[in-house]
Amino acid sequence: MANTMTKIASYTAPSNVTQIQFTSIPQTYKDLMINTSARTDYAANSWNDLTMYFNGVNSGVSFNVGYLVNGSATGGYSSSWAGWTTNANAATNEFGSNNIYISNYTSSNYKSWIIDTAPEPGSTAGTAGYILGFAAGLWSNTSAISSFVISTTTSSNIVAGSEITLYGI
Amino acid sequence: MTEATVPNVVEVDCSTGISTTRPMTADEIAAQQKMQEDFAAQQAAQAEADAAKAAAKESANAKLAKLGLTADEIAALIG
Repeated sequence: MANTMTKIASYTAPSNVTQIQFTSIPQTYKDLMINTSARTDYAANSWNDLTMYFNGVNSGVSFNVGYLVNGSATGGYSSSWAGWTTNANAATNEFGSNNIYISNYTSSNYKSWIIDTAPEPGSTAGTAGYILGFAAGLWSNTSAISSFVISTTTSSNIVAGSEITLYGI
Repeated sequence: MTEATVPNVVEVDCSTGISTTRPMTADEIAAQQKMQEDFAAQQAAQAEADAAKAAAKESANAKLAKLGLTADEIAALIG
């Protein structure tokens, strides 16, 4: 296979949706990259958290995520964190941007990934200082990744116009 | 729960490119709620740890100031 990036599938929400699932992911690439441009209707704070889990498994599995907030290291979540996004209190038409790169998604080793996330690229500098983050994650599971779910960590929806694209590398 | 209030999910089949919107199943809703509860608990624990760390830092700075260090000296010391 040539060393290129190929778009596997993409979804742009025409209306609000609680959860987005990508299924039947082809097992023919080495790595995966998920790009999200998303906003939610959560009305507290000025950002929201996305969550992600694989193969329908979101319990009994060890997710380990550390991140940086505005240049300072801070603690980690032991959950399926998938970056920040904007919400109902962000500037109009502003969507947060995330890239999630998953290495060796078909291997029988545990799966690791990196995230870069920018929830408020152009708005009020620094409501809570959440400008840019990086994270590393580990899914302690030996199964090949064949599907994933993205939703929010609050009782809220991913709003219309949000887009998720899956690439194979 | 009426259908109008059931959260919806979109399934994107990567083998066909077809996306299908449907109501979430009871199992999916339960899993979603558990994830949200777990995440909220983790955030609360993280906030508590951050607050404790900030309080310890403030206390340490106050003790250094009592020893006669200036604010610039304290900043140089702790980075």
